[in-house]
Amino acid sequence: MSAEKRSNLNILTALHSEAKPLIDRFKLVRAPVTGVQFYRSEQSEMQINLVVTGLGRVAMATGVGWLAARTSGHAAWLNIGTAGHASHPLATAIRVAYCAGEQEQRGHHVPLVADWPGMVGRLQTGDHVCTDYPQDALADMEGSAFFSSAIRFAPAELVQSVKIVSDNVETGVEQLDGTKITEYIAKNADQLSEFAMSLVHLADRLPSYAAQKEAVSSLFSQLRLTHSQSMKLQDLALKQLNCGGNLEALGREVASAENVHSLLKSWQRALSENPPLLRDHFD
Amino acid sequence: MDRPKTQTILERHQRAEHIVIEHYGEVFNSHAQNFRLQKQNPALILAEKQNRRVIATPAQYETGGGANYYFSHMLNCLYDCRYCFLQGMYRSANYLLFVNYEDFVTDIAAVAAEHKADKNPPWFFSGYDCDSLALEPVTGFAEYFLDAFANMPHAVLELRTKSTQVRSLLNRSAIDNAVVAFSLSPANVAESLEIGAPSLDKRLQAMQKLQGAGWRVGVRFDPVVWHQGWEASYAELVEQVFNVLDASTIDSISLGGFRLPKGYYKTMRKLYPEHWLFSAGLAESNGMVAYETEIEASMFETISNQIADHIATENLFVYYSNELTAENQSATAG
Repeated sequence: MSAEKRSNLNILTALHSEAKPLIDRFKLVRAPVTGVQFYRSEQSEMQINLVVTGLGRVAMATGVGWLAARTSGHAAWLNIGTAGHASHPLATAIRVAYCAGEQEQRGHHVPLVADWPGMVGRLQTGDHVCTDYPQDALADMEGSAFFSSAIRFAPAELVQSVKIVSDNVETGVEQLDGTKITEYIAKNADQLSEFAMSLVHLADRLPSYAAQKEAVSSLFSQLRLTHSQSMKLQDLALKQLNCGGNLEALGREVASAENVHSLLKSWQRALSENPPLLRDHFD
Repeated sequence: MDRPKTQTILERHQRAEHIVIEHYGEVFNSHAQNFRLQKQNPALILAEKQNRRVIATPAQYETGGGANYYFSHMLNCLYDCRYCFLQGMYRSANYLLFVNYEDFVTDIAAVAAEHKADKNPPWFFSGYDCDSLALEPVTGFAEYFLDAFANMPHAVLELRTKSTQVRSLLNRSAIDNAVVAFSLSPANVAESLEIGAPSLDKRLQAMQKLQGAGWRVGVRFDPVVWHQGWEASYAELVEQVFNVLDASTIDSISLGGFRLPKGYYKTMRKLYPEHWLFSAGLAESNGMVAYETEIEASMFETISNQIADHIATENLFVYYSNELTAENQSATAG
């Protein structure tokens, strides 16, 4: 794993009023992009991206896809927004453990790996503002689209959503406005920020092999190789590095090899003849 | 939900978040899960096993019994052994505990009855897909099944484990038809690869206690791991084992190499591309990835000779990977 570069944090909200406390908390700045409300903070070790997608499932799925296309590397994906619930008090933060679209037979169970000290609950996503609250579930308009699109780009453990209760049977959605939404989210900003960082920490545990692959590929830059030869050499070189070999020695072998076949044979033989160096585990 | 085992476990974990699901497959088999990440904080899933509770083992496997079967009251393991095939087999690292123990026992009894006239007793292995004892304080598995096997003297239960959770065994009288088989690796290999598992010393102490209490104890050097200095590591391991245990009452010792179905190997290498274990000395044959024949044979011969100085060879079982195919697959979890 690369020590200096941490995983990215990708945050998606439907509304700017939901995003505002997060923009302030993470000191994000608006990026000059036409058609998308995109905020970011490019810290030295971690990039935070936030997209305000607009209301509804199509807008959310579009926002996820847009952000995925724009970023690279491992990332934690976090949907933060407001939702209605029949009985929970306003401003209660609830991590989504299960999410289903209104018409869907089967929903998505969210793996709850990263720590969350608060409540967890079910979320039902519909196409309209909900005034007839579902039994024992939050109601929103984006959640199911967020999950189904974001898990195409990251392991499900890194795709999470926290909903803040914005309306209930006592205080209906008609009493809601942007100021109140911002207030409810801001009340939970500390907890949301901690959760986001624990997700990034989790994402950091994914293997980051890009640097090694790049270094190994550079060994062969002077050779004329078929795609298959290139893949085989890269595989064998990486395996040798895993077993205690070093890049310089491999480079010398590449330079002195008679041809590609002899190099392949030599490296294969090395892996068969030299037991690997016992090393401590990585986690 | 209404089963006594479920209630006991829920009461024990009152502060845990309880999420009710229709079928365990919704969570356990769902797509896009990452075993490596999930292993950081697995959930406990309680479910009923509806079918295929008792399964015949691959033909090669036997340690002195007649017909051989295995059963899994649990899928996945408390430990995180880097060589474990469960990482390649399951999408989820959550612990899946089947709470309908009584159904398992009914099925085991029925299978055992089919072999009542056999010369050798049928052997029932636990610990293929989990560690038999690691979660004993939560599951009460050994306690329940040892009671059941005490009433089935014509069948043998083998508990495969790395755990030192042996209190429930020490608190009761040993029974003749149960074997507690410990997977052992050299101390340096255990430290490097068997993450979260008790140290070799602690396992040996637990085995010694069990032997002292009259339990049949088995030793499993499985998988044998090829690494720099393996000769010295395994020589030391064999010496440690026979310094601590009474060789004359060891039930059996077995050797198995590091081997996996090809698909599992690919999955595991994707999870841990940087790991040395998946990088050297391996070859693919018959849908299995295992140590090259010469490497495995050399290790097995050396270690077998060391073991043969201490116990009768009829109690030593060596499982060569090249005798396995993907259909006839097996590997080590416990």
